[in-house]
Amino acid sequence: MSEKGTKNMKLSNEVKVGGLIFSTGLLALLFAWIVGVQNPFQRSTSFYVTYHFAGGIEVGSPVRVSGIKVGKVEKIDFFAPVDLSTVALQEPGSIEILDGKAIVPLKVKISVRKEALLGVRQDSRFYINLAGIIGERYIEITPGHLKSPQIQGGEVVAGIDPPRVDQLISQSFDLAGKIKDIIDENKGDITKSIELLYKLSGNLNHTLAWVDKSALFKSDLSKLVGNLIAITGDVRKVSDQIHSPEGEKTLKLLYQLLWRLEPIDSGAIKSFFQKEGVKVQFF
Amino acid sequence: MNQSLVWVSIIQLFFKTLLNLFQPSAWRRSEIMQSIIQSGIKSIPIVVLSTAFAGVVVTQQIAWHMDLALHDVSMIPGFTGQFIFRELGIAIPALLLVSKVGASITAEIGTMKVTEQIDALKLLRIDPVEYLVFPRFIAGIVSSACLTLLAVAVTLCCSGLVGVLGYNFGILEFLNGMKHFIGVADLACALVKGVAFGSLIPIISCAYGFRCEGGAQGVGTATTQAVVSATVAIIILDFLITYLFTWFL
Repeated sequence: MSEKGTKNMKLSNEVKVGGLIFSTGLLALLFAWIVGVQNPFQRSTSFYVTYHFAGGIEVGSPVRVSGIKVGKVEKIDFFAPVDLSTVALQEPGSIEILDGKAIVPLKVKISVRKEALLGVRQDSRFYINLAGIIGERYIEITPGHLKSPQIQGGEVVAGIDPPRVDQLISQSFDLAGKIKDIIDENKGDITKSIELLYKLSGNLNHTLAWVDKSALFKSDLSKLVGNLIAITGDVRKVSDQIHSPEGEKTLKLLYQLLWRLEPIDSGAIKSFFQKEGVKVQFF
Repeated sequence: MNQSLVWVSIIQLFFKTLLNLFQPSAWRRSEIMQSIIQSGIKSIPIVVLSTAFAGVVVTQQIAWHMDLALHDVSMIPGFTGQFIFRELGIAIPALLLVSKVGASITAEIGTMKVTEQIDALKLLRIDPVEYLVFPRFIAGIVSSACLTLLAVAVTLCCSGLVGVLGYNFGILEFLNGMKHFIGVADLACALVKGVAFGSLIPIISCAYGFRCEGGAQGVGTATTQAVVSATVAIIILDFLITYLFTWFL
């Protein structure tokens, strides 16, 4: 092989290997993006959130502001001392003083992208939430008000502990145990009560069945209802007639008649009718 | 061939090769390039083909089991992604390299040994480890790391294709589902395994080649033993690295 041919082959080998390494580098960058390696040139700010119970948060867990992923958990410290001058704690019991030092049970360092930090203020809330079917934990930050100061890098704020499901389960077991004890202690009374309730419901059922089947009761009831309908119909007619112009006129005449009869007492009326030979019993 | 002695010679050879890292004369670029082409670029077709089918099969199997057990296939991207990054995309190219490149190295060096070419190199005051093993060692590391990432990419693509075509995932939906499960540790695990397997294969193959004796039959026996030993070593090393990454990272 000529010298030129050998040189070309060498170049060719280098190009091939270079191409392989370059394409692998691109793949590595692509994978780094897929797995969520943050851009080292991306500007972000770190600050601390304190909790008593972190509910499964780990280093690398996502941090979201208004539901958008804007950062991640960088570090978790236990019983970490904090500088009180940088503390913006809002929750009671987030901080304890021991030997003159301010101590928080759990101090979680989180990084948040600069542009999202505008919404993270001292009145923001830092919840620990669950995402997805398998329950991936993340820190959700609710945006604060514009009037509230913005969180600064290195500041310490208090987070809101997630509900303790383990404690709820434990308490429910305890409650179930107590209910069982009560049932065991009052077994006789409870049995009697249940029996009485059973009898009562049986009687009620029996009565209702009798009412349903009783033809006599049915006929009486239907008559009663019929009469009631007739009476109300008559009353309606009378009241309609009273409110008519003739009724108004009649009432007016009746009023005038009564007004004229007012000076006449029952004794005078009686003597008048007696004189006329009419026997009438008034009142 | 006494197996325990072979493993002692493998460890010895590994450290001798590592010492050459600090000798500028050992870094012969043309030989290293040639070895990378032999072990890396020429292995691309077989690695791509094998991992593509493996990706399809694994995704189908995971989807079938999830549907059977959970009646839900929404976690396919996460589970397949993690499995591919942690095992499938790494073990398959490594085992293929053992059978293709490892066997070739053992046969080549074994033939040199039985034809006394190694002795000739020694007579010429050429260190066989520096001359024969080191370029293959570096080439093995580079090739294995590259092929591992390539295999992971191909497997993920095929897995995604099954997810999109077979289970109505959107491409971005599949990627996002995967992102929730895969972390930097998984990528680091893949690269560490790729480099470890790539360094292991040429060392074991060369060690068996150097101990080859008895003519053509001896070369065949050494090649078989090298392939078997390298396969077993890769599986054990795979377990150790996975264990370390699972518990310590």
